[in-house]
Amino acid sequence: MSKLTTREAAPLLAGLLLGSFLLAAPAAAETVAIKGATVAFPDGKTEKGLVIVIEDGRIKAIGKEKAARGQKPIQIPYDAKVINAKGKVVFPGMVLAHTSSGMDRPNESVPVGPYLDVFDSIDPSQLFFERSLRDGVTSLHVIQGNDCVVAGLGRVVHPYGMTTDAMTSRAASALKIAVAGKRGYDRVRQRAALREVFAELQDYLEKVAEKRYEEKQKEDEKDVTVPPAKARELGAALVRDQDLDDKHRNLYILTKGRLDAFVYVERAQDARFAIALAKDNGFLARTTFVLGPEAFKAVKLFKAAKRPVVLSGELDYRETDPVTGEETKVFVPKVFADAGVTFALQPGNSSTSAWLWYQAARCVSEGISRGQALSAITSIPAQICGVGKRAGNLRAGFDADLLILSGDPLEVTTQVEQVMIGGKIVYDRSKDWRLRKLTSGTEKGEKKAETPKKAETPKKGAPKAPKKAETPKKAPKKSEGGK
Amino acid sequence: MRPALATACLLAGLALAATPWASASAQEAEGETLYLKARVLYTGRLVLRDALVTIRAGKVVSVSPADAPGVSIPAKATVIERDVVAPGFVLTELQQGFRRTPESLGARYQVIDGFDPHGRGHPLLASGITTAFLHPGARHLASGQGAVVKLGGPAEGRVLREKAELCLNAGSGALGPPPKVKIPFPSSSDVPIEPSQAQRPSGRSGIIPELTAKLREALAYGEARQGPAATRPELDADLAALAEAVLDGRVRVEANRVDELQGLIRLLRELGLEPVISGGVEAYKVLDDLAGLGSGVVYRLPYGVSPRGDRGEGPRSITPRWDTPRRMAEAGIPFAFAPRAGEAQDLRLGAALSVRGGLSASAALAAITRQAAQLLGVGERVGHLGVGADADFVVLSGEPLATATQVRETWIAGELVYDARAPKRGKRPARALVVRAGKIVTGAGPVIRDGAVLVIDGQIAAVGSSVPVPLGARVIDAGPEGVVTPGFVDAFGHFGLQGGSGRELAKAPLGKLLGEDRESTMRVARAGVTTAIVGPRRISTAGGRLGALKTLGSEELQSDFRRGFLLEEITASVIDLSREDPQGPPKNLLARLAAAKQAAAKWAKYRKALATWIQKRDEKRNKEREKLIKKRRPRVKKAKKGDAKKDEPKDAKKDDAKKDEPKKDDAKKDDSKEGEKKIKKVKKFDPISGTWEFMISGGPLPEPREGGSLLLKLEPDGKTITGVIKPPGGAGDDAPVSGTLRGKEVELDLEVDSPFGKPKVKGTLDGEDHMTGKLLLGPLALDVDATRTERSVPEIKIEIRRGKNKDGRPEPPEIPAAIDGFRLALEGKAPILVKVSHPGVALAVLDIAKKAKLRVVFVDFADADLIAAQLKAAGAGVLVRPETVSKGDGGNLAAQLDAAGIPFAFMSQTGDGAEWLPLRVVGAVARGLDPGSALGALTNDAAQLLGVADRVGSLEVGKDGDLLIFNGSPLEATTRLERVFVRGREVPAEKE
Amino acid sequence: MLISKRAALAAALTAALLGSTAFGQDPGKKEAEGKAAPSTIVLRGRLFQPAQEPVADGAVVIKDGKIVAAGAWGRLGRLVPKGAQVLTVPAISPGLIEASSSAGTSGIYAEQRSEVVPELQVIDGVNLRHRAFKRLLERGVTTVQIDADPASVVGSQSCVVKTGGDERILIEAGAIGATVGPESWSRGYNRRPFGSPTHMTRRPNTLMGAVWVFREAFFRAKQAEKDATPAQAVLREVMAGERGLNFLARRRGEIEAALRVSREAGVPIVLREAQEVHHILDLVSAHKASVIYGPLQDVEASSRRSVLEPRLDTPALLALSGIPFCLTSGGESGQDDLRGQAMLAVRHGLESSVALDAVTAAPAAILGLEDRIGSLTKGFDADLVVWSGPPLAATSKVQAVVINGKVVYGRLNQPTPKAPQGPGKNKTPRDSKTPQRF
Repeated sequence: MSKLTTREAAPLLAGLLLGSFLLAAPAAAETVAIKGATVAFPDGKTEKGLVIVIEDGRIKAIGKEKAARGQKPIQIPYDAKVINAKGKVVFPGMVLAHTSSGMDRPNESVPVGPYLDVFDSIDPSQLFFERSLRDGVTSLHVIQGNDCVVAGLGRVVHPYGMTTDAMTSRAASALKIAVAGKRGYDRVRQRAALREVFAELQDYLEKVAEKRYEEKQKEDEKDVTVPPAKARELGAALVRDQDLDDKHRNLYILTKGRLDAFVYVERAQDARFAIALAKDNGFLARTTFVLGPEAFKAVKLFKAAKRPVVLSGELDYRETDPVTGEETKVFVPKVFADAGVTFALQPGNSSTSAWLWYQAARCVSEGISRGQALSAITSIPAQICGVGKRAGNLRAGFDADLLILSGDPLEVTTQVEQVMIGGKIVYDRSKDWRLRKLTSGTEKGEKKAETPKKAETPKKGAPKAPKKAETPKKAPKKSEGGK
Repeated sequence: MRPALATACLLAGLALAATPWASASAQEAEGETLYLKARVLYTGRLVLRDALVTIRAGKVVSVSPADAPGVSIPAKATVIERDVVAPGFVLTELQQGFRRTPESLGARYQVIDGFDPHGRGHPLLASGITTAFLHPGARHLASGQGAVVKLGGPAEGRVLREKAELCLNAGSGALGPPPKVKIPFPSSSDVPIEPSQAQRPSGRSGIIPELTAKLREALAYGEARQGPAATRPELDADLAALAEAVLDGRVRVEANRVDELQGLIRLLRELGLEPVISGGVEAYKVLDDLAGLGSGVVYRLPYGVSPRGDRGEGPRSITPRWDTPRRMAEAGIPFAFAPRAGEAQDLRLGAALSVRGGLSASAALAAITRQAAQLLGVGERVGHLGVGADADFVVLSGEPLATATQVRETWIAGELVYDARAPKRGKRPARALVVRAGKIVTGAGPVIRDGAVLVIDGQIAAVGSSVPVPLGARVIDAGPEGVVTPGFVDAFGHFGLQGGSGRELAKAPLGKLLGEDRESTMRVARAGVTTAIVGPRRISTAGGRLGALKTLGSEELQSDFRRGFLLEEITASVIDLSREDPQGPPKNLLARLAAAKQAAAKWAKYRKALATWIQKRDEKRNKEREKLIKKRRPRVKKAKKGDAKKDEPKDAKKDDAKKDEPKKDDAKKDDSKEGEKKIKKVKKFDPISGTWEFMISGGPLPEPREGGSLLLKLEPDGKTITGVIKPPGGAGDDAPVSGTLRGKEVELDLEVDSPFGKPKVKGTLDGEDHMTGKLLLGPLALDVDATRTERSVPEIKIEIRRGKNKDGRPEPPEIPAAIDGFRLALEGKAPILVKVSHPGVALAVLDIAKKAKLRVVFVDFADADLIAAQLKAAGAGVLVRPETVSKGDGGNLAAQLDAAGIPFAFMSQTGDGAEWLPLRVVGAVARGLDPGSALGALTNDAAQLLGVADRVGSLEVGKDGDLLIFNGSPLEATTRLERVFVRGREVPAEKE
Repeated sequence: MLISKRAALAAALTAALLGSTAFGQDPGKKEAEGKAAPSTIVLRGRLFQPAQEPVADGAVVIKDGKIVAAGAWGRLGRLVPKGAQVLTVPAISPGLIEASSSAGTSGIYAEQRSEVVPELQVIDGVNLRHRAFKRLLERGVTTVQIDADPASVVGSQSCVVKTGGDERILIEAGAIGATVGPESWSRGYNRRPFGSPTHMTRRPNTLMGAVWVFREAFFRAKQAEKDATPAQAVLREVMAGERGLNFLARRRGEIEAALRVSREAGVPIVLREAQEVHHILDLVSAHKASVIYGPLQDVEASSRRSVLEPRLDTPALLALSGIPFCLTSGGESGQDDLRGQAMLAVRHGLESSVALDAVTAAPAAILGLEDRIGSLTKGFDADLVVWSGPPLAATSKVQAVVINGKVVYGRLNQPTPKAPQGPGKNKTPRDSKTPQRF
């Protein structure tokens, strides 16, 4: 989206966010109970008439009010603010596993910048966050784009809050590494550069280790007797994070397996190297692979690596056979679903596929189970971003990040009516001034905007009647067309 | 290389006798098994005839003679039988573009990083290359580490050596590396950007020293890194990589000129290294040293078929020799071939050229297969087809090093990765067909023994004792007994006219008659009749026309079924004069000819008009061009494109106009001019003239439909009706209407094309301005209800809404097909077929023909033999049914005509009954007709008589590729017709 | 619209009476397929008809590429002949119709020599084998109108073609196109002049300029009686109402201008895209103009596109105001584009059966083909889509597309897409193209 508009809009929007949403939100730390809700779980199950009790922004309990056999009934605390969600559907807030939107610009031109952090780049006033709320996304993993060798740290944020701090739900979420050629690099150079990064890190660590060993010996009033190689070996154990300089610290933490990595694999040909790189430098166990459209061809490798992947928003891969010129189409998620590789979905860039739920719906249409599809936009991305214990599902103990929908999450007509983050209602469709501006210049529009399903019944005949009047030659055809 | 091959075979035989055929145990190899039967198999060591290779899980598990004891192929196993099979060729140097980074010593870079194991359709697969050494490019002192990969097959198995030789360069390629610039980050006033450092070597004399220095440095580097921080050298990825490579002995050095080679050899002796040497163009000058060194040579073939510049004089010039490979072989230096950059597709050819220098063919082949693989360190897996090797092989059309030999297929790991026959991108698969046979009856000129016919895209491209075999051609060998003849021609039948009297023929374009292949049409084709001259079932005394169809749709059927069967829209005209009075002149014929004269005049007029119009238009266009040129400014370029765009369609049209002239398919109706001229006011009440709006209902129509409007005019004579039908909307063209009025009965012919001929309206006037009736269309009869909305006599004018001729191009005249046939006859472009019963009439016809210079062919004229002399004199031909008996002396008419030297052809006068025509001719032969002339009458003579000899009838270059393959002499009762090709497309066999 | 209606009737007439290919060569086909293929085929499943409640257990009877009957299975009764093969499928709808597209053309296909080129025909620049059509097919679009390139003020004659089957061309040369907005100078050579204008830089470069060109063209055409140039001849047809006028006008000002000039020229018009039509619905309905609306723009999109005030519920408003309208994806790419538009419309308040109408019957009417395509009706072309669920549900997909009674995409039994194969296993294109017939 254009930087200019957001820049101009920033102050105004900040004001509006404050105005329109905060007022709606109840004071924090209040007890809230959602009653009579139909709950759609990521595993694909749907249960009717559940009660969700929320305390201090967390789900305290979820279940039936009347005791069913085996389970204990849920008490609604006397002081709870009760939201009656009868006829509505409650669904966990969706999670976007990988995005560079919301930053001032997605990529830093410095090829190797492990010391960078998107924290300083996120602009809370961007339209993007507001839209995410509107579409029911409650957690976003903002991380540098794919045009890099080693990029900075990412961060999981809620699309709500005045400052980046307020938005943050997990800092230092992951380090971004790209295997495919950065702009101006071919693959040969890119990979040589990556090898060098880690070789150089090793070299540096050895230096530090040697220094640390000597220091240690000094402290113990001993002098260095062992050969340098030995000294480095012994010193390696003594190295502490603070001994390292910015350029190396994050990489060091990464190689020690204390930091997640998001590795961008543009094409299938990058997969082998990417996996090897992660394995050799000891962070494979914490690696997520961000895939380009064609990378699915290496699905076997990803399966062998036993790591999750984030698919590109373009779910169809088209390929023209170099010999025959014949075009073939592959639905990428199906390939991974069949291979049993856990995957998260990203939004595409057409006006429909820009919705996460729509991507999930397409998966269902192509024969992927509803559970798999729903979890690919909730629980799985949450786990991938390291907030799997808090977000992306509705369980006792989880953050109260949830959506109150007008219908099933995969229905076209379903609207996000309210969004709750950390127990606060942070978005209310009826108070969405921008949406109103887009849909309800006229009172007709307003009705539709609020309750689309209701409005239909009277409307059903309406549009047709005048239509017939307008085009008499067409009317009879149509009527007879029906019978 | 025949002797070589022979000896090899001998060896093979011995080997066979000696070694029991080892085969890997069945358990370890899973996956389905592939059996490859090869007529000639080059295993890499031996040459076997009729060998059987068993392939499982992409590997060769056994090789044996096909008939070896104990070899049994399971019933449902996949077996492929091929002609010549050789190991996939190994390319010892494939430069994957040059490294762009500036380091002179770029040892850290690895080519494998740029390799895509999922890529498909590599162009080199087409030349049989399955394995290649990826070379980082000979541009720097050290350009990077190579890799050995396969160019196709399963992605997992493609990388053979991930880290192969590090490529150093002792040649001029190493010279003048760009200066290195190091940009610190963040660069600021206190951390300035240092000036760029020049890199060595910059002169020839510097290369070897620099190389030596770097190698020493690298070896030292490893040690130094062990030392304490103080003395420890900075991390240097390049030196590290170089050291590693040297220690692993993974080095390849480029050197071509003798000085480079000598320097290099000295250096290597010094350091005691024995790397692979690539290039080595002048190796013949240092053979002994090389031999002593004991390192292999990747010999870059200095000769090839691509153009080269002059070599020039002086020390810089480099002199290759043809015999270098031979001498290396003699000196016992292991070598393999590498073509020059960009000539990889000529690898096989280059190897063959080296045989000129005296290298044995087998050695040359080895240098691009087994030897090469060993040099690349992958000799175990590829380069040969022994047990345990990868199943990478090429299927060739002949001996591997024969120049004309083509690569048919390339297989990697038992998977077909290139197929010359597979359709190429963008264009239709090349449909080349070669038929070899012991005897080829061309039908024109002598019979060719042991000859062949080449058909490309349905047309005969070559006939002779040997023809070129294009890439991917389908080759059929009919064997020494086989006989190939042209396809048979049914000189007069009703092929494709289902039922009816053939009215369709009179009206609808012939091409529309047949939509696609059907069993009935195929039966005819299968019997060998490839061309059918189609005429009406009942020859009318008013005359009609004949057209020519193929009996099998062409490949284009899908896109355009008109071209699918059509050979010629109008081949001849036909008229029945059997009821003419023998005394007087044949009136009908004369009438027709008169009409035809007018038609001819119209055409002449049209051609003239067209010519002038084209001339005018061109002038105009030139003017515009000049204007543009005057105005032109530097930035104009694109404008011309715009112009060109504008021109093309018109030019195209011009051509069409010329081509389609005789056709009537897209001719625009425009015979209104006369109509306009003689519009008169009609005094008495006129029940017809005016504008009629009509509705159509019934038949398949779900509901009444607006039929559009009719503009009708009653001619002064009060009977004839002329007019035009305007189909509603812009979809259809206006079409002329003609008809008659008898009392209240109205009959109208609508000149609208449809598969059922032209629709007809029969109506009665009930009331002043109202008419009801039926619209007859083939099987359909629809109700018509018309009302006159406007009484005034309309101006009959045809509007063509398709906008084809908006540019004022003159319209070709619209002439009924029947007449047009006679016109063509007058213009000498087509014969006239005449049905006569009385010799008198025949004679009358003959002298008319003589005057008008017409070609006449008599149809079914049983008395032909009576006036044989006259016929011969007039050069007239006769169409006969094979079994027709002459009235004269009950003998076979055909035989008699043949004897009398009168050209004749056979006609079936049936629809798909034409299937039996060849058999009936066999019958005629049995009754004494000479087989030779019988065959002629079925092929060339028929074509000649019917005026289609330019397209069919004989096997000559440019004609349709209609071939019949017999297993003996044709028209022999015992002979079987093996295969039939129509326009190079084989007639599908009958379904059980 | 008059002309296009007559065109339709003509098409229908010629089809029914003078024999469409299916009609003409039918006996041949039957023979070719042998017993395996009964001439009548019945599809049974949920039936989705434009502007109607879905029929839970419906069926369509197809014969010779035409629809013989369609409706509730129970009611069809004897209409289903003995021995007809009945295929049960999840859901059936008419083939979608994309009323505004540039499929099959490449780059700028407008003639650059003039701003007024109505005599040219888009069809001449259309590659009917272009893969764009295959993609449209995959998304359930069976018929598409290919408009004039908006790079000319008065553009060339559009054409309507089917995306598959053998009889592709429905209207060879139909309505002409027109533009007065920036499209008329933003592309190709006719871009806004900068620096010193050369003869390459075409005028006009303002709205008023473009409008003037339009006026002038029609004025001159009116005057020209006998000696009308080809271009003028076409314009005269348009003025005589024999040929339609598709006016590309996105922004409010352009729409108003379009309505104004069309009224002056006395030409009935169809508004293309018309993003901002919601401002002036009354004006539009007063002009009896119909609207090809789209693409629907989302909140985000609004900042991308050049439209000032997009609306999400315009389709609903159009429906209420009774203006005949249909939806178009306006070249918007991505999976199921046209269907996507319909879904967006539903999401923003349009009733789903009406939305289906807006991508089937409504466009058919606007193209003047309402007697041949656009709904499952007796006598109509058998163009239909078999879905795995309701057509406008995000969770359903195209299973098969039938055109003129032949399956031209997908299979009726197994909907899974086929994976790419190595050249080894590759089938020749012809195999893969030959339509599977019933």
